[in-house]
Amino acid sequence: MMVPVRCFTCGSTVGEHYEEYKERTAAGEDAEEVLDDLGVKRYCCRRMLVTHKDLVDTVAPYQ
Amino acid sequence: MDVELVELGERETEFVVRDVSAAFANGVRRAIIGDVPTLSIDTVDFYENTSVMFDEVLALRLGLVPLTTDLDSYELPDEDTDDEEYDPANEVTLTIDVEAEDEERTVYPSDFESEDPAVQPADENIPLIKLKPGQAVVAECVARLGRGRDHAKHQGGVAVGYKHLHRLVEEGGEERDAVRGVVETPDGELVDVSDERGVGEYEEYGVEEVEDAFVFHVESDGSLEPSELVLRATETLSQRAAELGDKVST
Repeated sequence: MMVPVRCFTCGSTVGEHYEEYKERTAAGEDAEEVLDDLGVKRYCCRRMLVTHKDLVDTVAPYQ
Repeated sequence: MDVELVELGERETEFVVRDVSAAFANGVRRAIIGDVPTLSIDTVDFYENTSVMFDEVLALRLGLVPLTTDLDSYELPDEDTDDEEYDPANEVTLTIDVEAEDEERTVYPSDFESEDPAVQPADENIPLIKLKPGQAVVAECVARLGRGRDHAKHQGGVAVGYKHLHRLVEEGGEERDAVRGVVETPDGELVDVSDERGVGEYEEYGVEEVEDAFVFHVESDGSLEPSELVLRATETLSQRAAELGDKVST
């Protein structure tokens, strides 16, 4: 529903970078470069951001 | 034992430890992950939660936020007693009171109001929950000290690891591409070969393993300084060794 706060594997706080990642990739920047720039180095943390799908907006009307 | 610091940053550190066994190195790694206590939100009282997320899910998210910890002012609850009561002096209350009025609003750790100014969220941009107009979250969160071995939210060290130290050799040895990161030059200097500049004159060199030397890489989640994390971890190791010594000698 919302981005995980921490990486499932290593425990680093990946949620911290989600909004910037989202914004910059939406603006057309390459996801790989954005992640490198944000300092998300390990592939465990990278997959947390790359594979996340925000669903709050989809769920919201059914509350 | 000999410790050489390679790099010390705000959240990360790298150092070389010599003349220790692999078992000892692993003991240090495990102590950093599991034994150093950090503060984390442990219980949450919700006064209002009209968001789309259930109380317990939101409470888990609140608990995962790293909090800056001053280990000298808080104490771990005693392990030997089954007492459920905590000493209020060892707790910190953080309150959160956010309502989305006319516009969507996301709750961030920066919305926490802490009763102790020294205890603040280490990362402030984590989206905790998105509120639609009219939704609100009002909660009182109590943070306590805990260890990483009891819950991952109390784990101060993130991706803590070590590897054998390698030395660059002019002849023989294995291919240099086999190692990344910090290696020792023939003069005993430490250089980083992942960095193009680090390679320089050693382009044609091979590598061999240095016995009983380890390169540690420690990352902190922000609750403690990386240096404090390592020092506290070694402290717990010597405490435990002393305890064992006591028990064996009596």
